[in-house]
Amino acid sequence: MAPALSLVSAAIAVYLLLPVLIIFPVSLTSDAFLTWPPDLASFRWFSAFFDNPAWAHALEKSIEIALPVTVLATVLGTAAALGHSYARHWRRSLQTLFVAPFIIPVLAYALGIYSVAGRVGLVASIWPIVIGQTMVTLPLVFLIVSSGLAGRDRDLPRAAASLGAPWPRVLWSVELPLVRNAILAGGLLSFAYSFDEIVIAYFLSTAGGGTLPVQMLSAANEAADPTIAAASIFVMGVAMTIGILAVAARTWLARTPQ
Amino acid sequence: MGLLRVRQWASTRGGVGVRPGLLLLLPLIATLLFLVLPLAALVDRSVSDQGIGAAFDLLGDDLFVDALKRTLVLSLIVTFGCCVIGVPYTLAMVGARRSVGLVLLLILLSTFWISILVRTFGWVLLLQPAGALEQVLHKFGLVSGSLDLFQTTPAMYPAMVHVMLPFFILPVYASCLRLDTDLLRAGQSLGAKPLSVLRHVVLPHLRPAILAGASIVFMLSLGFFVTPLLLGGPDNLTVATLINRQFSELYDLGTAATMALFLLIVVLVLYLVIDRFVPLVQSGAPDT
Repeated sequence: MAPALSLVSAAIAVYLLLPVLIIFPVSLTSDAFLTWPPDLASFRWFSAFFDNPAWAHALEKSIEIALPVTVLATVLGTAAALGHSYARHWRRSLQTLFVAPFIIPVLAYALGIYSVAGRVGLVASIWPIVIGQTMVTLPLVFLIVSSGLAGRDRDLPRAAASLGAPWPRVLWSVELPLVRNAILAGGLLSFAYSFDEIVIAYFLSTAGGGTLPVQMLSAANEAADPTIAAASIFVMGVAMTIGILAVAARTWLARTPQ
Repeated sequence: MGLLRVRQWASTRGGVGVRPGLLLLLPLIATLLFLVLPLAALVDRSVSDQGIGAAFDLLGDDLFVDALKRTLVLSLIVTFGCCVIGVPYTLAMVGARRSVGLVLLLILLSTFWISILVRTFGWVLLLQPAGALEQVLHKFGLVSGSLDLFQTTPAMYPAMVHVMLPFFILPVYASCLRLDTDLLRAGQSLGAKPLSVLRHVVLPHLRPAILAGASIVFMLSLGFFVTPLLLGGPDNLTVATLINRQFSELYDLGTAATMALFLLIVVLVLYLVIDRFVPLVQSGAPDT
C-alpha cells in the first residue's frame, strides 16, 4: 500500500482514538478539577461515581429503560424484517417507513413525544422514553435482521412447508433459528444504543432524575468534576462488555449444530 | 423431495404461505401509534400555539436565521470533512495487508460503539481552556497564550467529524467490499497504474456509496444536538441548541415545536430530493 496512504490512515486512526484515550488518565486524577495534565493515580472519582446516590440512581434508570427497549425493539424489528422479506407489494415504502426514524431529527421526534405524553398524562413515567427509544432502535434491528435474512437458504422454509408445516410453524422452527445470530446482534445493539441514548432521555427526563447519559450531560454542563470521566470509563466498559458478549455469542452459536 | 421439486412445489402453491400482513401488523401499528402520532402532535402543537405557517415566519427571526446559517455551514463542513478523511481511510482499510486493515476497522468500530456523549466529552477535555491540546501546542511553541477554542464554532468541526465518520465510512466500506476484484485485475493487466485504476475503476464504483454516506451525514448533522451543546456556547447556537434553549430554559414548547417542525420539514424535503438521485435505501426481491 502506498506509503502516503499508510501515513494518512495512521494519522486518522490517532485522530479517532485520541479523544477516547484522553479520558482514561483524567479519570484517575487526584485533582478536584478536569485539569491537564492530571495528577495521577487516584481512584477517588470511581468511588465518587459508585457511591454517589445520584449516579447510582441514574444507572438504575438507564437499565430500567434499556431492558424493555431491547425486548420491544428486537421483537418488532424482527417481525418487520420477516414481514418485509415476504411482502410482495409496497416493499420500498415499507423499508422506507421502517428505516425512517433513523433520518428523522431525533430532537423533533422527542418534542413530539413530549406533546403526546403531556396530553395523555404520562409525563412522570419512563414509558414515553421506552417507546421513543424503541422506535429509534427499530431501524437498526430491522436492517440487521433483514441482511441476515437476505443471506439465508430460501429452500429450507419451502422444504418445511412442502412437508406440511403450517406457516407459523415454518417461521418459528425454521426461519427464526436461521437468523438467530442477527436477532441476537440486533438485541445487543439495541441495549447498547438505549443505554447510551441521550436526546430522547434528556427531553423526556422526569423530575426524579434522568438516565446515566442525562446525568453525565448535566454534570458536564454544570459542575464538571472528574466524576464524569470515571462515569465515561464505566459506560465504555459496559459497551465493550456488550461487544465482547456479542462476539462470544456469535462464535458459540456458530459452533452449536442447528 | 429434491430441491427442484421443492421449488416447483413452492411456486405452484404460491410459496410457503406466509401471510406478511400478519407479521407486519404489530410493527405497523407501533409505527403509526408511536412514530406518526408524535410527529402529528408536534405539528399540532406548533399550529395551535403559533398558527399555520409559523414555521416559515421563523425565517424573519434574526436569531433563528443566524442559528440556521451556522447549522448549514457546520453541516456542510462536517460532510466535506467526512468525505476527505473517510475515503482515504476506507481505501486503506480495504487495500492494506489483512492484519492492518483489520486493526483500522476495529478502531473505527470501537469509536462507533462508544457513546457519542463520551466521545464528545473527550473532545471537551482536549479543547477546553488549558486543555490537553492547548498544552501540547504550548510545549512545542506553536501557540502562546490561550487557544480560545472552547465554545467557538470551529471547535465543533473536528468533534462532529469524529462522531459522524463511522456513519460515512460504513456504507462506503460495504460498497468497497462489493467491488469486483476482477475489474481491478483487468485494469492492471491492461497496463494501468494504480492511481489510474483508482480514478477510473474504484472511485466511480464507490460514487453512489460516497454520495449516500455524505447525504446521511449531512442530514444527521442538521439536527445534531450533543456536540454543539457541549462544545458550543450561548453565542453560537445551532438550530438544535436553540430549540433546546427554547424548551429547557425558556419553557416555550410552542416556539420549540415550530422550530423543530422547520427542521423536520427541511430534512424530509432533503431526503425526498436526494432519494430521487441517490439510492439511500435498497430493496431486494420478495421471498415466497
